[in-house]
Amino acid sequence: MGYILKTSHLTKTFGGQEVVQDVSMKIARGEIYGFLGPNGAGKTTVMKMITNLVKPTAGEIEIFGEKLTDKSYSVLKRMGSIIEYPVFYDRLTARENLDLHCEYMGFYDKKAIKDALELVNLQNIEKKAVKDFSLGMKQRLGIARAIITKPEFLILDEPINGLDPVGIKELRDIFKMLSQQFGITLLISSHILGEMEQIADTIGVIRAGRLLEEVAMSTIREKNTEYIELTTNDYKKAAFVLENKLNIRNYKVIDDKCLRIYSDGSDGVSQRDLTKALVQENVDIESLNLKRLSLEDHFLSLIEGGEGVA
Amino acid sequence: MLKLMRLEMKKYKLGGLLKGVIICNLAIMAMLSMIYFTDKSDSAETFASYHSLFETIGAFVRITFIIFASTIITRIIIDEYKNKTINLMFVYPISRKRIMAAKLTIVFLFTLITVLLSNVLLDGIVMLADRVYGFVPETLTTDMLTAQAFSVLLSSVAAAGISLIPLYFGMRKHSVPFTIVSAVLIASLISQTTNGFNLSQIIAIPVALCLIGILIAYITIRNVDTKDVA
Repeated sequence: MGYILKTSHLTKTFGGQEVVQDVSMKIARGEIYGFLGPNGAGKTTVMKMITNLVKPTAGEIEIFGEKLTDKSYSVLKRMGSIIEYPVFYDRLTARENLDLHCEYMGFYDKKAIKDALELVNLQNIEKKAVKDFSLGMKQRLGIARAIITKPEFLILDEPINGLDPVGIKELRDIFKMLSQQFGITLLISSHILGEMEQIADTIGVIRAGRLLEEVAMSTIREKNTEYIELTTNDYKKAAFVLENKLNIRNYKVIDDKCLRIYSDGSDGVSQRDLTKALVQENVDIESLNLKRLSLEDHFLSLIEGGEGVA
Repeated sequence: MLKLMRLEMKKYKLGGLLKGVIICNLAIMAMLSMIYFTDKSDSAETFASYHSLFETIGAFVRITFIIFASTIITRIIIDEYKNKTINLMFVYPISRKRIMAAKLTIVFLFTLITVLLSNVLLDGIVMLADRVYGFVPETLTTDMLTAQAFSVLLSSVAAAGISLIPLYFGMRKHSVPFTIVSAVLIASLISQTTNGFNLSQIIAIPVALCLIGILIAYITIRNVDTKDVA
């Protein structure tokens, strides 16, 4: 499996400030790459560099196996994108905007326009001026525009912004369909973790311009994902019991009332044993739950860890 | 290139500008008639010779369409940057240079054609009117007409180049007011008449300004490939 995009040591400085630092990411052909990071982490800047809108201060981008330069125009034909937010020629109608897009892309299959609109569930709006669209509708129209030409590589910056839950669900299905049926590689950025978790094959986490981690979702799922959350009013005593009676060291004190006990497969403690030991030692148990570590926790731990260093 | 220009025209519905051009011509005509028919003291000077009459018409037309062109610059260039639609344009598999060149060619040709045609039209109308009213105490010779034709041609080309100068000011901060104000200043500077003298009479000045305009366009096109799009 080849890589559709490789960046090496990508850096961008704006007015002396490093907005993106040393980002080396790899996107495999056909996968959905979730680009995750808080607001202002540099996601959009990276995406702008990939689409050649912004030129890197240092580092290289290789796309479809070609090095991206100032004059790389032909690769743009194989890409579709929404950067920052979907922009349109507001005074024109949806149809006129899409027609223009096709003309500029050198794409002349007019039926594709209709198909794309149907796909994103936008109907009977062709004659309406885009300035009268809601953000959610613009978002859908932007996605329709990006997929008309069936590009090999689709770059979508925060595509679910401004959509209602039903719309988000619809889009999720569309993304999966594009990936599975058309073999399109997708780079999707978001700050909403739960969403990424559901669709991405690989997650790249960026914070303060640095790529903290790039990991396959399957790896995250395998890793140490279950834990028991214990709520008690005496965490010190509970911790003592864990360490001395049950011989558990892989736990974490979340706050005064909450402890997390991680189990790594076979040697994990069962809830029953845990309850028994705690009750014997007279520790009050308010609640005891088996939980799965979600991407959110993983992500938060990464970011907190980052802050500890900074 | 022609296709890009056609798409730009379609995108901004530039066909609709024709109405504006016609209105401008009507307004200039109205101004001229006001001078012609009402203010006899001033018109004495303006209508003393065909030469000064044509000068006056030329100045009106030049000012009007240089400013008009600056509104087109704001519409098809500055606003694209402001509304970020330029991001869209620059992710198309088309050289940025060609996109920019297409836009600037539209501005150049627009000024060239409107200044040329408006001069021809208004000069023609005034000549016809003068046959009836006979204000100008001169007979029109073929020599005068040839000289005027040449001068109209030259000043149209000059105006077209000059109309690109506001681009420089507008692009600095992608500011619409900057673009238009600079156009107004440049247009009035070169067309202001003091004691029967104005800057565009020294042929070197409009020619030099025209070249500056073209140079600005050239630099803008040359830089567009390497510049970040915010």
